[in-house]
Amino acid sequence: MASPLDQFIIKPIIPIEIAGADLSFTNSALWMAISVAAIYTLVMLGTRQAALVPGRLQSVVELSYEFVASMIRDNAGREGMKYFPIIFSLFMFILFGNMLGMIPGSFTFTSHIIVTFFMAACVFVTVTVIGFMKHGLHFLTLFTPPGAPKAIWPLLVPVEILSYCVRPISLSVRLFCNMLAGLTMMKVFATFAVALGIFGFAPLLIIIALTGLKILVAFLQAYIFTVLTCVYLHDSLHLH
Amino acid sequence: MSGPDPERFDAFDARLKKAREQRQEAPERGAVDRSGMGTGLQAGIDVVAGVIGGLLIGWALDRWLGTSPVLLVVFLFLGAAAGTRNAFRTLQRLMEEGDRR
Repeated sequence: MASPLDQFIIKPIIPIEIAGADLSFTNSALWMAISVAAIYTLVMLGTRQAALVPGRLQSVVELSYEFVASMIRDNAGREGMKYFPIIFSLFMFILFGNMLGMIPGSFTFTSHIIVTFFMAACVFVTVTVIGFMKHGLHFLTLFTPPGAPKAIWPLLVPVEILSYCVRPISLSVRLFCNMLAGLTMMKVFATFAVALGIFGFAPLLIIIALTGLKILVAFLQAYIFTVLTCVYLHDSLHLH
Repeated sequence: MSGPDPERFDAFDARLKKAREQRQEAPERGAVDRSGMGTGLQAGIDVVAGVIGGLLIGWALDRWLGTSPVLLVVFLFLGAAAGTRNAFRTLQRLMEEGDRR
């Protein structure tokens, strides 16, 4: 019987090797490409005719725009709107990755720590660079908590710096864990459903409930990743 | 009826105003409703990430400076503190969000 973890195996579809490095086009890359194509198609079709009274597709695109825009305004402030394009892309990419991963037989690229960690690391580097560009060396005051007596600074500052540096870890682990756990759980219950014969309807009911939960989690995790990006952006724009 | 009736317009304005106020007063619910477990998991992951990050940095520094295992231990505790700090911040933010609603 197939292992519940088989769904996460990366298989090369078109093997490519350049200078000893394996650069194959894998199933992970395929589903990333599908997500990008789907997002592009949705946004392009939705904005093709900018009608005053939006049609269905246009409403979807406008809703997602409004959703991300209000998220940035609430969490990063008005100045954050400058970075709307990257945050919108991030949100849509993760959302589509999570949602397309719900299709049976598809591959969920957000269930791989390296994918989520790379995205989190990009956010981390971007936010840090923005902070230094905007405030210069003054940005380092982010690590000196206001109101704390100077005597405990030697203890507080390392903790603050470390807590800044582990942000990409918590950001990526959160998304990856949720996707991995949900998908594995579904496969495990599916195995039960097959093994139990006619009594398999009980795990089947659980799978139905889990599917609903997974759709919620898929959206929620994309939302949390983006909100935290906005919060980090706020920190580097405003310092405390 | 001859010409617009100003009284009816006034009545309409009052009705419109009332409707608008009601819309404003309606508690704005966020797009997502978080469960208690979700909040707990969020904070938990923050703590775990702090510990993992501290361990990784301590281990790497130990290998580099050859001071094993002093820095590993030091950074384990610093990482735990940093993780707790992050978890505290997450919970604080969630509570503020809850207050706003």
